[in-house]
Amino acid sequence: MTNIKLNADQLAAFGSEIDAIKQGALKQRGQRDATYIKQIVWIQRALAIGSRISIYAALPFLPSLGLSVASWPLFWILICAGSIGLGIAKILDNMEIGHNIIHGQYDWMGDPRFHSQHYDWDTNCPSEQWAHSHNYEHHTFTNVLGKDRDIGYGILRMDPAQKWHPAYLANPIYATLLMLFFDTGVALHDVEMDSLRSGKRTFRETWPKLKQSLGKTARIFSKDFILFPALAGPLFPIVMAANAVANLIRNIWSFTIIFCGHFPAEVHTFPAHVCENETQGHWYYRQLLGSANIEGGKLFHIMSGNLSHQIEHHLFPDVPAHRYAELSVQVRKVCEKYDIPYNTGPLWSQYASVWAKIFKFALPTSNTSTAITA
Amino acid sequence: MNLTTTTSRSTWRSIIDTPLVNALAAPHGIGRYLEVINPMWSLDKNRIPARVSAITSETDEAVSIELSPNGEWTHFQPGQFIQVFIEIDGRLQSRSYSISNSAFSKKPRITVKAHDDGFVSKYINTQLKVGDRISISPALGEFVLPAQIPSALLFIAAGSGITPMIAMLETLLEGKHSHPVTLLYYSRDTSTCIFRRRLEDLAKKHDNFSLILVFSSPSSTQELTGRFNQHHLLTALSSKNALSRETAAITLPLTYVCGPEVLIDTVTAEFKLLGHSDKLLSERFKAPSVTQNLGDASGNIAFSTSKQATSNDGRNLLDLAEDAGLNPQSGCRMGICHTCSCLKTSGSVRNMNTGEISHGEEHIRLCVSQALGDVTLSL
Repeated sequence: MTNIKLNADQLAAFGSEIDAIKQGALKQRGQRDATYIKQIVWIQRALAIGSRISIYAALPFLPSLGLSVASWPLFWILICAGSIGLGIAKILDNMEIGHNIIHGQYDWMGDPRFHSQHYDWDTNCPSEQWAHSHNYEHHTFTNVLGKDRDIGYGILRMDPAQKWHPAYLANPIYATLLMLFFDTGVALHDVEMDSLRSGKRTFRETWPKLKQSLGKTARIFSKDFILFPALAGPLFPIVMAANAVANLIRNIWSFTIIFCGHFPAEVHTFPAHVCENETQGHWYYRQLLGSANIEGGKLFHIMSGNLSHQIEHHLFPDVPAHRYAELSVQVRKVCEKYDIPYNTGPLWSQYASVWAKIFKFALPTSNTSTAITA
Repeated sequence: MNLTTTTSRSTWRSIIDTPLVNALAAPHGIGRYLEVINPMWSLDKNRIPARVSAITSETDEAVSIELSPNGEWTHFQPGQFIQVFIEIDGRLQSRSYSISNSAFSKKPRITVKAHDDGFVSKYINTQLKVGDRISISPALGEFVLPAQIPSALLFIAAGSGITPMIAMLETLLEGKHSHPVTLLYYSRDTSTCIFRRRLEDLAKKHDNFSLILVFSSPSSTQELTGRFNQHHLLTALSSKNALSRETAAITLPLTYVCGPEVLIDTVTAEFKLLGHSDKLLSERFKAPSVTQNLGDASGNIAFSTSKQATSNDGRNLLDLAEDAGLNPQSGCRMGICHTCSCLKTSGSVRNMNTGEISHGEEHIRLCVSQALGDVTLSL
């Protein structure tokens, strides 16, 4: 591991350079950002409508109905297009739109449709709970052991500082389940079921958030698995399966992107005491070392909600995310100047590195923490 | 006389905006999908899309904008105002304008005077085009005629304060109201006198309407000049329809006043002096003004939901709210997480990180906002 230590003066100078990048971006916010998010929302809604229509349009071609238009190829083309399209629509809704709006990136527009306090997304997690666990806990205490519950999500062992237990032998199985049911995992994240299990919280303390989460889950679940399938009458199971595939696509993709943002090798974790009287410079420094980028084209960045620029996202969580690509050029220059590693790599290598960790920490490891202080 | 225009919500809106359809469109609601097909199909009741259907120049510095809102727009009472939301450089700017046409007209109209420091009023005067789409709120405000129209009415207006008055006057006069109505209207000179032609036509057509135009410019040849005073009031009351001077001093008619602060203050003082404060209804037009320097903390912070208040000492609003015993949602306390984002219903604040100033109704982050004078928060 690189030995990255900056003294207080260097940290302050580094912090003010990063801050200057941020203020420059905030000053530029305007029509371009508003037009961008409106276009993405338009595409997302149109894709969702079109994909749902495609799923129903497939049904008359089902040969078992015995209609004159019966055709397996047409049935499969339409149903797959519908499922995949709906999956992509959900990814756009959750990531480039929902995640970024809930961060307050578009609050300055003054439009409730794009405002963090009003926006709700098409996933099981209530957006207020997400704003707490993610915007506050995770973004303020990024990769601080014991404070950032995103380290392992209270389920996985992702860091040697997490004490090993035989239950962690199933780490890869937990990770696979979390991936497949990622929407449910996210919905339960702020409920802190792990705190209930460990006795840190009583059921009474847990119930209000659990109730809210279950309510939202019921709404989203009934839409995709009861109401829309019911429109198909006896072909209910087909529509339900198509919707399930769409949800599965979204779950696997968002799990992949999010895990690649914080868990590849060389991403640092920090001990709790660094948060005491932390300077702005150190905060930026910690965000930088605690995140990793994924390389890719423009479409890939949009599909990842620009979380492929996890580093920029953590430095500037409330700057409109579509600007991260251009900001990353400036951030890298500052990193080179201060000799701070900038963790980036293609999706496959970051993802392989994440799974390597999932397997590695399933087994007991020596307790030397990678947690660093500057 | 029916003083409210009412149209019912269109049938298709009622059919589609049902719990079942909205459950299928969860969590966004069906309206957000309809907007994709046509922005005018929005089901939003608080931000009603409206097309600019006509623009008329009233004076060199004022225009009337006729609006064609969608079917969510149902009614207004003359004297009421709407909030207008216009996107300028990606930001939705909101301002309040009185509706300036009678309750008998099909489409609402606003009249906007360009103020020197008025960012939005200038935009409306110079940039807004026929066919543009903006959003409006439903009609708001209590500055309306009473259900029982009294036998005499007096209106006092200055500048763009005429806008709610003309709506009430036209509604009354077109609605065959036969009792005396007097308007005392102040402007700088003939060229800045909004609706002069229309008012003069109304006065010609309706014997019960007395129009008294007052110009403040010294070259004026009108009977009355300068600013509002007791003499003006008594002249208005003794005009052809109203009561005689002697009785006027004892009974003042129901009076509406609208215009700049100074006019409202003098009229209010005069009515108080005459012991008739109860007869006066006023509406203030406030232009945003920032006079504060950094560190010069003044004003009060009002928390409207909890009905608490505290005085501004220059610290961030989150600290002030907490010291006042409130428990607003908060997180990072450094402007990152937006947990403490809160609706400011009035007043101006400075963003302590960027120096950006927010005026009027807007969402702000409490932890990085410093009040500039009086501020009201919905907390």
